[in-house]
Amino acid sequence: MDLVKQLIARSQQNDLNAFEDLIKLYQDRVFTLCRQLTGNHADAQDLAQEVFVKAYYGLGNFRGEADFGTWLHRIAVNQWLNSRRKKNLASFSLDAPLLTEEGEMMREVAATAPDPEEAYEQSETRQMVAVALENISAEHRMVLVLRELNGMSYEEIASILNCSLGTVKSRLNRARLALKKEIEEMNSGKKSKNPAKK
Amino acid sequence: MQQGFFQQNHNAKIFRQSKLLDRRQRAEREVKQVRCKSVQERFSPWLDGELSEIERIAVEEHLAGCPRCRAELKAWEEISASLRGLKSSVSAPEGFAAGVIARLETMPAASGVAGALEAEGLETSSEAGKGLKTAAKRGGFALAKALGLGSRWGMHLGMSSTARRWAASAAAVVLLASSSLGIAFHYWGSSIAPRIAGIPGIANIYDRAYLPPAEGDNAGASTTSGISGTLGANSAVSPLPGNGATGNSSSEASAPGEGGPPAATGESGAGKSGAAVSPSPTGSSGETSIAAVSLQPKVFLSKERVITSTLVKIQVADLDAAQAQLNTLRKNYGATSQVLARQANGASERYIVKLVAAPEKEAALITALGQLGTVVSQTTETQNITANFEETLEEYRATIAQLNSAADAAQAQELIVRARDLENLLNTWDKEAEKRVIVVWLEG
Repeated sequence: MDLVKQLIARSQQNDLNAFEDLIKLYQDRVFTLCRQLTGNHADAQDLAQEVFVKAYYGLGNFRGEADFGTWLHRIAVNQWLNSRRKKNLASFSLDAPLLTEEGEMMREVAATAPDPEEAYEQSETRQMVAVALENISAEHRMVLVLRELNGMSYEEIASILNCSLGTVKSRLNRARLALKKEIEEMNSGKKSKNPAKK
Repeated sequence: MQQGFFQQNHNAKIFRQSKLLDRRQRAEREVKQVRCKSVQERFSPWLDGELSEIERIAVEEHLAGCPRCRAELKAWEEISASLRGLKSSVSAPEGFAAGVIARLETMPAASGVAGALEAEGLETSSEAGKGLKTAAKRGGFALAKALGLGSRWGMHLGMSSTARRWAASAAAVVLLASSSLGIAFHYWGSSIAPRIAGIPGIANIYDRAYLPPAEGDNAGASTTSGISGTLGANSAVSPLPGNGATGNSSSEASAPGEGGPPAATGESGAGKSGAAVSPSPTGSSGETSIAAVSLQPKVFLSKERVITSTLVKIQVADLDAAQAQLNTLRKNYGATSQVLARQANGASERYIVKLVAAPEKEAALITALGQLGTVVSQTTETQNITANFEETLEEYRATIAQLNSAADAAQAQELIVRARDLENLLNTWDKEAEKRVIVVWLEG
């Protein structure tokens, strides 16, 4: 942790070498979150880059009270929400990942890789959930990504979203309801199993 | 009349009683529903383990007597499990940090309020560049669509120079992760790769394929030889979106308002191949004549090829630190590397990387790797891949022949990707047969 503090202090003095080291320490975590939020690699790359640029310019305001990683996550989340709001003004995005009958390309090597047959069986449900996650609102998606995909505690989420624990709890509940509803509608054929054009 | 009255009275009484019963049943039902609703409102914190002891017991008691709520909870749990199944850890592309720094170097220094203001200004000024990037990306995807190619191929087109190698790598990860050690990934023939791609949890190979080979790994740049080089010389028949589809393109580099090299391009193989193969993501997707092109397959020597592969599993205290040390070691021993996976499951994290080193340096490198932590296991296998190599080479040649007589652009496009992937696979095998493969599995 001392190393991180030192690097932050040097970066605050506009030492780009130190900031580069800092990026390297956190880039995978930030990139992972960006990938989960945006749903595709290209946008994740743009977002992650913006996060670090913003972080660099915001370092003067970083007092070390929060964990640096949490702080970066907060920037990522805010930046993503902003970009979503801008994007929603446009009619739709072609940047969303495309789906084929073979399914969207899977995101990651599974943490514990199941055997191929079992994996095949799981694929459809998981794919549907992945699509549904893309189709619900940004706020709902965000809180689910932080909780379910990143395993963050309510406290961590509250810190990132800058809200109370009660808000986290109710937002998660609503997000899960929204996701379930989305999946039910997909199952009943009311909705396409492809990501909505947003 | 009297009887009739009593009868009527009796009937009325029964009627009143039945209404009363009905009302009671309805009330009970409502109470139950309210209880169900209240219990279901607790499903979310239940899943997160955030219920108090009393709430938990109350929910459990209700569930014991309410099949409907049990079914509902099961649905919630399944969705939650699926969500967690999407859990992932993605590595930032090689050169990402350098890309950010390059961008920052062109911008004013951050200092207090002035810096913050500059940051705001920056966001505005980079909009134009972003617009172009987005356009390039859209062009890429649109093209892939126009060609009638699915996302797999779309992604493939975006970064395909290393896709095959990643497919092989992903296969390796499956084997490794399921603890059945093997270097069978060397044997995964061409027909297997697409199948692998469809397996959940692995298809991130297409994500990962965005990642260029690590520095020092020349295989990624090999697209400049053989078919790819030939194709690169004729972009008219190769309307590949290149890295434009990934937003990591040469067109991005030229976007105004974006100072410095694009992030993640760096010195990467993907960057090179993107430039060599197709700088034109928005190129013609129509019927393009391909008759003028006659591609020659790259020549591979016919010889015996044996791959020696060692899996070293190391338990480390700090995965990030170990990863950095590993990278230093790799450089010191002149080995090339390729990240196979970076996985996290909440409890532990693992980082799996394939190193290819000169035979004379192998032993020393493995010894040095032992210093990263505690070596849990180390297994070496030797496999003769000669037959498999020949088979793949044959398929590669056949694909080129097919390509030379392809009737339409879409078909040609697919064949180009296939041939290039096969060539890369052959290149990798060829290289690895002369060297030593060390798969390092760091468990944090």
